[in-house]
Formats: sequence, C-alpha cells, structure tokens
Amino acid sequence: MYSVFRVVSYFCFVLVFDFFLCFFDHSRIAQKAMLLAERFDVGAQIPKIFPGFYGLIAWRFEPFHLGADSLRRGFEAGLTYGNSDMGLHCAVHAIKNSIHSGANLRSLLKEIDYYLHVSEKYNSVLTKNFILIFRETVSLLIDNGHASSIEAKACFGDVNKKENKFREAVLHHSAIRCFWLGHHERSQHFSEKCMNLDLVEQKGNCTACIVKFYYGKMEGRCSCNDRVILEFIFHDRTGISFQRLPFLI
Amino acid sequence: MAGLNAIDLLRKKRYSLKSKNAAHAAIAAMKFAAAKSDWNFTNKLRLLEAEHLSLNRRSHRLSIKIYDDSIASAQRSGFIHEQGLACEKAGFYFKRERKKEKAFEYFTKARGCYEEWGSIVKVDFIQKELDSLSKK
Repeated sequence: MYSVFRVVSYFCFVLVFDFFLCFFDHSRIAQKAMLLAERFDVGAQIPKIFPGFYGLIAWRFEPFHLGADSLRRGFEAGLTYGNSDMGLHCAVHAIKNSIHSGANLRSLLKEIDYYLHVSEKYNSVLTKNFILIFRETVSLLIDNGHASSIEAKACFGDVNKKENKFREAVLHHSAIRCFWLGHHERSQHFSEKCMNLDLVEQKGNCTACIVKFYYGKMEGRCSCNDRVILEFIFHDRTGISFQRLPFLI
Repeated sequence: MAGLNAIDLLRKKRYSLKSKNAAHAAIAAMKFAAAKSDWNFTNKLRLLEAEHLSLNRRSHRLSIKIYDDSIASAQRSGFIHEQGLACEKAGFYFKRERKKEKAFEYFTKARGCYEEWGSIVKVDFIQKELDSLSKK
C-alpha cells in the first residue's frame, strides 16, 4: 500500500533538488508512479502524495491547470479521509497553481473564501494565513481591493526575521501585486528582498521560476518552505533518512 | 534580458547593468524551463525575447513576430492573463513606434483578455491607454 507513496515521494524529492540531472527519466518514473496510485485506488494517500507531486514538481512537465485540478481533488480527498491538514495544504497549492494558470479571478476569489472557511472550521492558523496572503493578491488584482477585500488580514509577523515561515510568500506576493499594478521599482525592491532569502540552492521551484519571468534573476533556488515540506514528506513517511539519500543511488 | 520588470527598468535606463544581467538570467531560465514544459513556459520565453528584442529598434519585424508567437502560445495554453500581458506589451511597443492603429488593435485585445481574466484594475489601465490613443 505504501510502495506507490514511497516511489512518488522519492522522485518528488529527487526532482525538486535535481540531484542527478536525469530530469526526463525521473519525471517519467514519477508520472508512472502517479498512474499506479490511480490504478490501485490509494485514495487515503492522495492528500499526502498530491502536494508533493502536483504542488512542487509537476509544474515542470504538466500544465498548471492540471495541477490545480488535481490539487482540488487532493483537498476533497483530505477532507473525506480525515486528513484535513494535508487537504488544506493541497488547497494552498491549488490556489497557487490557479493564479499561475490565469484562472478567472472572481471564481478564484470564491474558491479562496471557501478554503478560508474550511481552514477556520478546522482551526488551521498556518493555512489560514497563507490563504489570506493569496486572497489579498487576488483581491488587489481584481479591483485594487476596493470591493473585494475583507477585514481579516494575514498575521505574518516580522518578515525580516529569518525564521518567519511566511517570509517568502509575503515578499513574492508583494512583488506580484506591484508588478501587475505597474509599480516596477517597488516590485524590483520586493523581488530583490526575495532573492536575499536564505534559500537552498537547487535548480528552481515554481515560485523561483515565476519570479525570474516577471522580475529576473533568483538563480536556481528553492524556498525554505518547500524544503521543509519535502523533508516532512520524505523523512516521516517513507522511513528513509533525508541525510542518507545521496548514498542510496 | 532579465524578467519583464528588469526590461522595463532597462528601457527607462535605470539600474542598467543590474537589469541587463537580470534579463539575461531570466531568458536563460525560461529557455531551460520551456525545454521541459512547452505548455507552461514557451509563451513566457517568447514574451521575454520579444521585449528584449524590442529594446533594439532595428529588429522590428522579428519583434512583432515573436510578440504574436507569445500571444498565440499563451492562448493555446489557456493563460489568459499572460495573453493579455503579451498584447499589452505589444501595444506599448507599437505606441513607441508611433503606429497608432496597431497599438489600438493590441490594446483592445489586451482589454478583452483582462476582462475575461476578471481584473478590473488592468481593464481600467488599458482603457486609459485606449482613450489617450483615440484623443491623439
């Protein structure tokens, strides 16, 4: 039962860190493992597998739209199988993918409000704050927040502190908002701050790639949050030590 | 060229060297990403290339072709916001080239895309450009 999950998690890990540079082989194996997951109906594992696969690596070879749809499924599965934490984690990635895929902003705002409601119901403060950051971006893109904003604001603390989990999301979204609203110099300021984060060197995550498109630079880096998620998925669920990984191949 | 932002700053002659490096890094990154996922990144690569090329006023025909490629690619992939962005950038390109009719055509397309995307802010912004072109 756990084999498929282990295979997918392993290749997610390898692809995110791009250790072995065999991108096409690894992505093909990860895709096949996902097909296995579908075939053997491992529904309960979907909320654990999907954030890693569709949230972190599939954007490199699958359309953003497909990722968003699958992550919505992950969210539903999470609630169905009683894994609301991972379900809400899928929801956060679904919003991110939807923004990148150019989904209709008004529909997306309704969807975000629903996720917000669920995160409040399950008392998931971390997810709620991430969703509020995304909501503010969508609201600003719609009408500069005039009619679509809400009173609730994300509590992300001091973004200059290294240990702040929201740092990357806050800076990245500030850069996105400034870019679309035409404040290029401010956008540059936030993207430079984004670049100065204490990030793990690798061949790029989705955020890094989008930052490059809109604002430039941010050479081959991955977010601390993504690394933490990967560690969490790989370490705790597969039973293979994170540190031992390079020696396994 | 670096990202779109860096190119805009380059056009305004601000942070020249820094922006130039950022622009080149962005194109390289998009080439790398587009080689892996044509669907997600080809339109972005084409737009960066078109914008970079538009800095050099001698490559007029090629710039237009690449802008159109980017628009078509974004449309194929269903990225309505980036289709609008490519139309907007092409509109500004024609405006700088003093080709009013063409600029009007591309701004109108951009407005349509932004309406479909649901961004009132961007629709208003493009409408202002269209109004200023009609007054001239």
